[in-house]
Amino acid sequence: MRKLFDSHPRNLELRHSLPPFLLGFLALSFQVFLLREFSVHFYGNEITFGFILASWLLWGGVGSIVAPQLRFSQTRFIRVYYLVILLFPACLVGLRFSRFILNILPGEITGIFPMLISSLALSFCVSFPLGVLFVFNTHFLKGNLYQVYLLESLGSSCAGLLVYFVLIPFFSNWQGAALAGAIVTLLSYLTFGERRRPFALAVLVFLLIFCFFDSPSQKIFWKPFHLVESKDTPYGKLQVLQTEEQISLYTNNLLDYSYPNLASAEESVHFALLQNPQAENVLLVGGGAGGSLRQILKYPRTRVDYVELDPEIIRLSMRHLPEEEQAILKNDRIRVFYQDGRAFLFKTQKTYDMIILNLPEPATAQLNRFYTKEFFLRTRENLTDQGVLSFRVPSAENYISPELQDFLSSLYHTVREAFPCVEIVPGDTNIFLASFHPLTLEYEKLNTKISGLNLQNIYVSPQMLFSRLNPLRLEMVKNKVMEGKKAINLDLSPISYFYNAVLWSTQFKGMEQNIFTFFSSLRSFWLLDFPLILFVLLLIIFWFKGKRSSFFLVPLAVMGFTTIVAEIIVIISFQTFYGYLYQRIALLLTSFMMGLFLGSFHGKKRKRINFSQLLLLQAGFLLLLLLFQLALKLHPPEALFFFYLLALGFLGGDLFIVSNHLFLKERKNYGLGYGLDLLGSFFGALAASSLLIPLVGLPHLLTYLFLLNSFCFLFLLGGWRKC
Amino acid sequence: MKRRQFFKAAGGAALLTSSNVGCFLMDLYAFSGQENLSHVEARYYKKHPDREIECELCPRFCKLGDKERGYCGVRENSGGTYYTLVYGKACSANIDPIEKKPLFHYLPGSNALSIATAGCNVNCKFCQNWEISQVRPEQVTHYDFPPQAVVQSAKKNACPVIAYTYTEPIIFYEYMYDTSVEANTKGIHNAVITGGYINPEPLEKLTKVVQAIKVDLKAFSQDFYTSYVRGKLEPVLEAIKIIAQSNVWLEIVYLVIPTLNDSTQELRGVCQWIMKEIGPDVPIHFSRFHPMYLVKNLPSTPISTLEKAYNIARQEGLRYAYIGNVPGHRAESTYCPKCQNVVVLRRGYTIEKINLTAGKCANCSTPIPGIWS
Repeated sequence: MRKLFDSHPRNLELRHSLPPFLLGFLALSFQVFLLREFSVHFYGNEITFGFILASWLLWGGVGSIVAPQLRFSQTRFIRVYYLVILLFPACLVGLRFSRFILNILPGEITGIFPMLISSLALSFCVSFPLGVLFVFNTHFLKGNLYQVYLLESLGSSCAGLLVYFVLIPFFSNWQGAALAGAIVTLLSYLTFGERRRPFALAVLVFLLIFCFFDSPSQKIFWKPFHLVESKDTPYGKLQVLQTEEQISLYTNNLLDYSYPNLASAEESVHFALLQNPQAENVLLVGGGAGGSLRQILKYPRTRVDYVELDPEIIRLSMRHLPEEEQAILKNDRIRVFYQDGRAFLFKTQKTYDMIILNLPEPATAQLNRFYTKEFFLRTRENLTDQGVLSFRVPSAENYISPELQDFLSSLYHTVREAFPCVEIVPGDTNIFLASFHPLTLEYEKLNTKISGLNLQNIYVSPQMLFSRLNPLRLEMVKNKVMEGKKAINLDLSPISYFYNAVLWSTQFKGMEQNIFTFFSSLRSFWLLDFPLILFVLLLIIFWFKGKRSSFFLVPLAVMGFTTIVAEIIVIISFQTFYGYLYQRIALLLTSFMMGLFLGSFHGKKRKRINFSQLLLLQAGFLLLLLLFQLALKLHPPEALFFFYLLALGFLGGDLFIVSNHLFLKERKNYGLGYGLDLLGSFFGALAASSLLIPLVGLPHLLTYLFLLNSFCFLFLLGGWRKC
Repeated sequence: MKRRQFFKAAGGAALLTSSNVGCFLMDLYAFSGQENLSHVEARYYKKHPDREIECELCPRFCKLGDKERGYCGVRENSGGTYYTLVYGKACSANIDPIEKKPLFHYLPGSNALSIATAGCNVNCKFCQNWEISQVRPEQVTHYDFPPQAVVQSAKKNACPVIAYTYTEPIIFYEYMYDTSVEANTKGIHNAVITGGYINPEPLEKLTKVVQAIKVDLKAFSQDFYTSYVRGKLEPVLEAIKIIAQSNVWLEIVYLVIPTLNDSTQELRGVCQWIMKEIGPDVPIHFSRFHPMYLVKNLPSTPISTLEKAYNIARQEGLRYAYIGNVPGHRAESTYCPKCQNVVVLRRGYTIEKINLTAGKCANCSTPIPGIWS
């Protein structure tokens, strides 16, 4: 085989092109699977995407800065490839068993610090050697950095398409990761030749074992609970647990519903329906399989449109729920729509007497879009004059902390933007009811209605309500939300999502609570304007020092920061508008990588590289940011997000080649440019995902990026003569 | 205290005298921060040289240097004297049915004025009130609610009982004790809802002034207490024995958490212990766990597990076993151990029927233990 390869000059070319291609292939496929697995472990929260992207970039950057100190040899070069392929599955195993390492119970929640630490540790194992490989590849190709960059981006793009179209739809995350590793093992075996046969074989066997360990390891993860089924769907990982007669469905490790759970089923619908028991057309968004549908059917005139995003939820429920519950789903008064609830509402022309959101609280960007002003305004269009909107969020029965108050208050004031009358049911869960007409939560009135309708309820019953609807409790909640911060939750400024994160952090003692509280009290000046002023000062210093290399390196770092922050903005806004990021993440990242490939290809094809091209590219970034800012104001079509990332990647790739070319003419340091790009990206990703987006909102952040790039542009303009 | 706060507090005190507790709590200026903490000397502590002290209230026996606080976060050594920071500083006050505590053989159908301060001497991962129990008093909004005001409010709101609840009332022992003494003079009862993590001496003294105590026995294994409660089991068992020997009405709650404390062996163990040490007449409630606080991803307890616990209790000879947090279940009512007739029919927090005559079964006159009126 080797002879065959060596005998032909074109194969020799392939032998040299393949390693950087494989590097890109490994990097993207592993990153996508790590992102997905990680988000599953940390409850589907998009903050985790930022954390992983950030730590991935950090270690990649460090790897490429450290690598020039390491001695390059062909054997070592090959070994690092195999090392990465072996380490990645080990990382996934480590992630799955992290609860044992961190001493966390099954069912116990984890805070943001364990999340950050795990993301740093896991990314180190894979991204650091990948960073080293980048530099080794440059050695391998005799210093042809652009070729490496180009081929790496091409490898990433190919991997992205394979992952998106084949590995994700047909395989679980673990199987997909193993297959990607196996492909690279086979290809590298072809590249590096037969001498490595036993080793390559051993790696393949290891990957095979890893593949089969997926299901048993999930069972171990949940012990002592009994995991009966698990499924990766486009929207997340679904798992069904059985405890005696009770089944519980988990989405991304977060308890979705338990059956039977009568308390939850009753309170999810009755408070709303009791406001208008004559309601006919009811829209239920989410959670129908947990028993809410049965409760709605207790009202004789109701017909229900039940919208559930993930068809697998119903399929799994049908398999594991008792027969009488399965029959409910087939009742001819119920129509099931497999569609995103928000998309459904924005499309339908039908008006409803009752819209019941039976969803978890806005703990993710995906969920937050059901609690925004834009969404509530839309539900108003779909409600009849006597209609009622209802949603519920976890709360506290006996004491409303300042953090909970901010959260509830933001929801209250947001829904008030759309509806004049809003009432809140107190308790461990707060149920918000909104309407055009006054609503009532007076115990006596509800009691009369319950008796009049002869509802055989257990929880929303006179026996339980007299305590829950005690005037003292009603007043306490109402007063608290009225007095809290009046922040409005918007699609692109998801403040309730941030307040929810703050609330979440208060459950954990220690630093993270203080950090969040500190930042939530900070004015946006310190988050945005202050760092920008520092940056401008830095530019002025650079300008006075007049070192030529700084004019090439500054745009690199700014590009790294801009591309990643913009990438995260795109990811979060995509999630806000469409909600199926878990599925599309591979395609989004691929668009970006494809852009990088095309950009660097374009850069490489340039006949002459000069400073004015750099200036032009910087101007291109300004234009792109401006256009996206404008596009976000309208409801952009899905394709725009992919094109935007493609364009962003294109400019980034081209700029990387141009500025590196100029820089390397000054100093021969292969790693520094790449390292700076990645370090800029690291800080960008971390800040944007955990603080900036939830606190200041997407539009502000885009403006900020625009300003940052404008200053960089001015800086370059000032340096034109010097270069 | 700043001037603005003083006027607000003074306004609140004035309101207190003129309105009921509902308005009082709503209108009174809410304090948060350190300046409004109480400075009342604590009871049950030993002074050591060098301004050190040793707290003797609970089995933790915190040894503290100057300016240090105990594990509970609400008692502080200041210059060698130990102070409680939450005396008269309620952070939560509500009117709840007594069945919600739960106390089943104690004044059925009555309302309890329920109060709490911040802090706790254990750290349960499944705490229902973690927002107030797992923080220091300066981190919560609290109200000036001195013992006299509490008793007055209970009277105004027609609450025959004051319940010390939500967080661990042992940590506000002085406040609870003095309020109880005051309440007794006005003919109002006192009920303590506790984890029972207290030393014998303060407990014995407390049993002289309160009328009912409900103890949360969180499991019957030290392992569970170590991992999920961060306390010890033995002192809790000791406390239960002391209460059982006093004149106070005792009920026990065992929160059944799936897979963590629900093994047949453990459930049988706890029932046998109660039979042997206290006797068959103490009510035991097997309560259903709902996902909460740090374990919010655990499933709720299956009803069949609770029924298993209930059956074990009955087999072991306990006469008054209940299933809690499952409204509508037949095991939330009281049955006469002799004729098996319903003596108290409950549904949720409501009493639907009482078939008792002077504390005896209306059907067969078997005395049913409890404080019924």
